[in-house]
Amino acid sequence: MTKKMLWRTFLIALLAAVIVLAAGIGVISFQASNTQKRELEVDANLIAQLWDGDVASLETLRPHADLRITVINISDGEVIYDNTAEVDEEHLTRPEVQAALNGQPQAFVRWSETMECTMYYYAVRYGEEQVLRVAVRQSAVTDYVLSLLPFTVLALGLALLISYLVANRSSRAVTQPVKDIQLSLRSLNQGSYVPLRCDSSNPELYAVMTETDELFSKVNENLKKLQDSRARLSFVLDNVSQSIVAFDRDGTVTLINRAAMSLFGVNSSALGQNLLYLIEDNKLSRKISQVLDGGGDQHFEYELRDHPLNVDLIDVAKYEADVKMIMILTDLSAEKLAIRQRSDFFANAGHELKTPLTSLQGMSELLLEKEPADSPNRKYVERIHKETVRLNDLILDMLKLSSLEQASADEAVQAVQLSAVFQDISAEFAGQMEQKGIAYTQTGEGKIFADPKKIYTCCENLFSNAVRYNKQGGRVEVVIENFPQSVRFSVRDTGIGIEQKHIPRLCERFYRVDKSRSKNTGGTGLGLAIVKHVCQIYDAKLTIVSAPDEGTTVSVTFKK
Amino acid sequence: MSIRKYFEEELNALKLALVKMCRTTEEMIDGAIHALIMQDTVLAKNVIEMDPDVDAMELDIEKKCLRFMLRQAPVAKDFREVSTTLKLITDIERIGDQASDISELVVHLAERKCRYVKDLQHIERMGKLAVKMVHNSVDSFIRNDNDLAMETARLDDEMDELFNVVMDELIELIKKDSQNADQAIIFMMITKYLERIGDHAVNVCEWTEYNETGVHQKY
Repeated sequence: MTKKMLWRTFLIALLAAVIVLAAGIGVISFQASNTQKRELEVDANLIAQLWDGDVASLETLRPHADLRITVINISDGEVIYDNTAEVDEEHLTRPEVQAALNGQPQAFVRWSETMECTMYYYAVRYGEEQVLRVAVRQSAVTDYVLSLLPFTVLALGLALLISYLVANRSSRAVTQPVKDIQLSLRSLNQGSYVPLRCDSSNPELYAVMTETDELFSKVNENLKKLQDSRARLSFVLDNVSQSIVAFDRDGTVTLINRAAMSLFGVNSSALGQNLLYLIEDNKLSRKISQVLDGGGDQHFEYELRDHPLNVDLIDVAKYEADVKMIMILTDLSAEKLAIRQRSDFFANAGHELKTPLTSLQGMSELLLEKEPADSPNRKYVERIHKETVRLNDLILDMLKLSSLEQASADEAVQAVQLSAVFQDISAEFAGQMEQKGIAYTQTGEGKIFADPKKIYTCCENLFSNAVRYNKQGGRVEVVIENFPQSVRFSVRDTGIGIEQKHIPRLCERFYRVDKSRSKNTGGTGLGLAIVKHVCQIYDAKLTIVSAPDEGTTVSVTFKK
Repeated sequence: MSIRKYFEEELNALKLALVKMCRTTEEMIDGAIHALIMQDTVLAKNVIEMDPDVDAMELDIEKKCLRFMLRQAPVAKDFREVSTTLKLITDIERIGDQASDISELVVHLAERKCRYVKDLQHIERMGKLAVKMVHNSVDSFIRNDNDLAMETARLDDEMDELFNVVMDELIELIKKDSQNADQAIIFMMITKYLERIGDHAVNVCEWTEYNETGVHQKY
């Protein structure tokens, strides 16, 4: 910029100097030639007046040595006299001679063959016979210019020097503020902002600089704030136990916290990479892609490399422009471990209780056999026996429940024919049903893939409830239905029914609708809890529909 | 955008597509084995339906590779990466086909609704091994990890050993009772498919080594 400005000013100065010089020379030479012509005229007229007609006396009339005098005879054009050279040529046709003859004498400039230089010519008529011509060399004009040359060169040099200095100064006055702004901008970019020094003498530039400084300071402040809040955010994110990853629309990782890095076994280089490199599990990455494609939020439990996780995929596009989705993974290992420990405790305690109970039961049976029917103690022994059996049932159910809690869907899976299962169960309960006068009907059939033992336990519990809480002379119906995507079986009874308010809590352990009733009907209070667990294992759906005094229908729907 | 940056982005997109294809085939193998164990026809049919996707991915990557070669005229390492990708997808597509074939056999078995004559412990292990090999082989290419490629290629010995074990078991089963023959043959085919998947994964490893060193050799 400075260079360009310098050159421009320099060239303009040079151009001006050359124009002035050329004009000066032109004017001077014009003036000089005019002066010369006039002098020539004056000289010629003077000589013509002073001359006596004698050729020899002409020499004395010459005012200076440079003057050339020629006398021409009008009649034949012969040169009668010439003080510089012998001339034989006919001179009548020369323009100055013609002009003199016409009575309008005029000066002419012409190249002279005789003198071999450019000359001014002027002629006057002398008498009737002759023409007097006077000529002078033009070289005198260029002498003027030559004598001026050193001064003009000096002046030119001076002009250029001054123009250079001025241009330099003025260009710097413009470029310095721009340079300052540039430096300031660079410092802002590099993160260590140096405030702009506003010191331009140019009011417009000064205004620009102050405005720029204000803007830069504001940007710097906002940048600092942004960095601070980002640092705070990453501090918080890195210290939570959940794994948090944010993705943009293309599935590129835009944020990942420390927990997520250790979960996926990557370092911060995962930032800016595609999710496929981060998540090697195709099912999970496909779910993420679904959310990224606008499929809506998803929440589910997922097992990633033996880590039980709670996965939340949240579409945040409406809050954030560059983040499409955040994924929050909560490690459920500790929770699962706690559940496991609790059920382990259940199992161990159950086993420990079972041994003494078995002997208690055996002893009470022995006592019952030995005790005569009319003995007053028999009542107590009978009571002991009954309670022992109940306690035993309870412990068996507890053990079943805890074993179900640890079971997984993949164990001992085979095809189970539901109709066969219910036939077996109904045979088992035939005695009890006969006692209460209950009619049994079974329709449909269906096959599911599961552990037959678990399915048997589940169905047995439902069936025993249907029998236990039935009225005298009631009915039990089992319906097995096949749907394209699922298999459902329902156990319907015509029993006492359950009030609506109890239904949500029915599957809790030891929950009783009527505390006083439990002792009459038997049962442990764990039946439905067991059913619920079996359903959970196979991802089946449990629905209970009931109306007091009309009966209850429990349906279990297995996915195919 | 500078030319080199554009170039790199195209290459990255190519690799990403390859990873996606690989992950899909992994899921197919995993699904096929899971369907076999659970006699899950729905899952097996899902796996079969994934095969056309993998074929489409192969075509897409192939087109991208050829266009890249034509337009960018890559040399040296870049050329090897593109040509390796072009070779890899053939193997990965074959792996997808095998997984689909296994699933067809699973559907065939499950529709007969019978109990398996044999426990599936070894076949399950082969399936897990196949998934691991496929995953690691493509991963080694993506990460330019030659050591991982060699290690993965060595896993094939274990696969062959398991194949022999299962074959012996099946021969015993047939000798014991000719009733077992129809199931045993299907299991044999499944095992063979899994063993072939292992071989394809080894091919991928070999190409990874070529990508790194410029030398293609068979193990």
